[in-house]
Amino acid sequence: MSTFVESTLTTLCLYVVVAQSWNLIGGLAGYASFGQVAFYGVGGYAVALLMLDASLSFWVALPLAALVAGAYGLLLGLPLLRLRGEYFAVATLVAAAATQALAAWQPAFTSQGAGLTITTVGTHQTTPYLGAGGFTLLFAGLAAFSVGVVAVLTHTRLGYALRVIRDDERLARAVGVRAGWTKLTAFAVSAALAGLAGGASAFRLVTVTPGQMFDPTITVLTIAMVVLGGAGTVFGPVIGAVALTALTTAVDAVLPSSRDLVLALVILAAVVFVPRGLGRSGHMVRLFAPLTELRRPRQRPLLR
Amino acid sequence: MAVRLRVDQLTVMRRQSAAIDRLELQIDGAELVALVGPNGAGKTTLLRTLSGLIAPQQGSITLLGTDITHLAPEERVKRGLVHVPEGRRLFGALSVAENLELGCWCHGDRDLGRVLGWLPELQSLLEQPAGSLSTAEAQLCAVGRALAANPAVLLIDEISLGLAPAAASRLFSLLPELVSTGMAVLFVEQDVGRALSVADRVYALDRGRVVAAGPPGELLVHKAFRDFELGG
Amino acid sequence: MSSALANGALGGGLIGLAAAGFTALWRLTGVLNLAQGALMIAGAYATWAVAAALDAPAGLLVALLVGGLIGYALQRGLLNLLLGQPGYLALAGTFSVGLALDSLATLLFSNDYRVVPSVITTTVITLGPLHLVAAGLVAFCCAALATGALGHLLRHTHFGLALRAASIDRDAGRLTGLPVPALFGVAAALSAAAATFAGGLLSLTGPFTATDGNQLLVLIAAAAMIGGAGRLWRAFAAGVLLGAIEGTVGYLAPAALTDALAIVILLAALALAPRARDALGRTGVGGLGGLS
Repeated sequence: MSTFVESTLTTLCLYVVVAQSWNLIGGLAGYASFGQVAFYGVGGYAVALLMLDASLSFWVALPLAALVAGAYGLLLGLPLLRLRGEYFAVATLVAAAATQALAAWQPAFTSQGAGLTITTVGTHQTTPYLGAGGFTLLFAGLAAFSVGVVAVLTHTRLGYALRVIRDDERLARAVGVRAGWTKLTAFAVSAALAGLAGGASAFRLVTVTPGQMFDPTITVLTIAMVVLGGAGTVFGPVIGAVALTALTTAVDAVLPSSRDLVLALVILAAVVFVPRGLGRSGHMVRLFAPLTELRRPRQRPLLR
Repeated sequence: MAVRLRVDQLTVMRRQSAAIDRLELQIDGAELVALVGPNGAGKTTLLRTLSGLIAPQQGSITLLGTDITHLAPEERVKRGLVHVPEGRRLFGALSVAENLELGCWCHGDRDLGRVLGWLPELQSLLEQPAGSLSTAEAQLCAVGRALAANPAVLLIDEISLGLAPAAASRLFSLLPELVSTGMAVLFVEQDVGRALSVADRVYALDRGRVVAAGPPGELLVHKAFRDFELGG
Repeated sequence: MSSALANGALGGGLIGLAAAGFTALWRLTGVLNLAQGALMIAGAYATWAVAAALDAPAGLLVALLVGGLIGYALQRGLLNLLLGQPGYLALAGTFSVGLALDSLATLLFSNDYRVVPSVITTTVITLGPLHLVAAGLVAFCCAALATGALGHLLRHTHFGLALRAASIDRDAGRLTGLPVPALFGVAAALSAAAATFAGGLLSLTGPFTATDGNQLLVLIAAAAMIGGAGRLWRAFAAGVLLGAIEGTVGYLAPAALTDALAIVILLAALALAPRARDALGRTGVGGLGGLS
């Protein structure tokens, strides 16, 4: 395989993991987290610190990083999951910014924002660098794992409980769903998945900086993938990840300097034209409505 | 003088089936027209389509010679088609006076004298929050808010729903007064007997179609209408 | 240290104005505009560019106009289409608008720090024990006035009345003849203009760069959350409070810690405010009508 194909596949699989992570809390439970990148960053820093300071092997550090991110999810979830709707979204956004600020400030973590470099060569390395092919395999495994987690959860009591909460939290409580516990579990699992993605990315990138590991753009990119693919479905986020990988790869090749601009415009288009996602039935009706309804009187949105 | 309101081959789809099915309706001038029919006949859907809250799949709506089928609701209000919706939908946190003043938005003249002339009961309620009104008062306020817009055609959904008999009679006595000033009124009424007793003309709807139409006297001998009245 | 606190509070006034605009749109249309920080930076660039050619007041005027135009376009082109859809779509939409503005600014102006040079930037006024930066004081007064004007417009004018009515019941508003889409557009224009104006004032008081938008957004959102969906001045006061804390903490500890402190305050405020848990829960707009 060429390096290009390998790196594209790696990106795709990374996107699948973060998209499924968001899908759990935002899609299944209906709690739209705008701070998902916090867990990605925490996972990344955990891997870097465990490999550097504790001299652990990457294969030990990665699951531990997922645990750390999950625990951080529990910690943030306890106060934040009591909020609803926009309050939750903004509180998670602010929480992620604060986490980034902490990572940039705490000297032991980050040499004050300058970043950490994982030792990958020489006698002090704990795990040999995996190389392009190795990382593709690693991320492919993580992607399969994340899809599996969501697929299994969807069909468990937890999954059903989450969907009841999404549709009507008061009803959920009334029929005996332990809403607080259910949401917290989903949030922690979701955080752990994001932590896995971040941890593996940190090793792949070698150098981690707060600006990079906590970039809020990652959160929005994630949400865009899930929205585009279909929130709350098992394979929707995968479709969304494929679409956005194709897009980011193309933009990086053609217009690298205006990457964020193009991304923003695409997210906007996704939000307006396919709010229910490509992965659901009926989506094409809306997507192609302007084409098919040319002959009939147009069905217009009432507010414009 | 152009026809006041004309509805041509109007079709509205709701969940794959037609809630309004090739409906024809016409109001020539200042008339009092009642819309009757069983639950689910499409009365409310028709009114919501006329006022622009629902977009029809087919057909046209013409107001005073202008095609308004694709106009926004607020544009229709400006052209004289005003709808008192089901449930009244007053701005509960605002006072009665503010509700009435907002009704004047489309022409900008905020003098409430004319409305209070028709509905003197509202005079003493002006400073009250609209959310605190009784059902009867709220219905008067909703009609008043619509009248403030100087309608040429007034649509009133479920005019007497939830009202005590006295309050309902009060509203029904207002309608001929409005018509005498040159306004056309199309109202939905559950009580067929009452609708027949006050209206100049009646449209009977069932499953999205007009099953009978005409002056009350003619309708009483209409077979479809008799079936419908007995059945519904 | 008291001077650091006071100057921080003055700077917080700018956050407060942007947060007041944020709160106004939130209450009226139920949308949290996550582009508010990027709009502030856009306003700062507009002022900076015009001030270089003409003068600072003209720059502020242009900032107001730019904000109004972007806000109106944002509402008519995006947010009106998303009414009635799940709230996170509007959030994702406004966030990407912010991202687009940020990246446009980076493309146009690169990441260099800019500041509008002026006489009052460096002047210091001594009031008793306090040494206040004159530019900060002037900017604070402008921000306070602008917040007051926005509040007055929404609470005491016929236009504000129509806007509140439309936010209580959109359909009823339209049936009453209110041009709800345009009214919401104007609300967004006012809200965005508050942000760009605050950004313009920011460019007159200190250096800024294209990537500051996110940090500003966090402060604005925190101030608006602490203020709650209540009155505009509460959001303004919360901005001032955050600014004062930032000033004091910045004086004692590394700058990055101040954001962490903002979150602690935010979380405490949210935990203490029961309405945060219920008010917006189901509909996203519930209970936002009463702008009193």
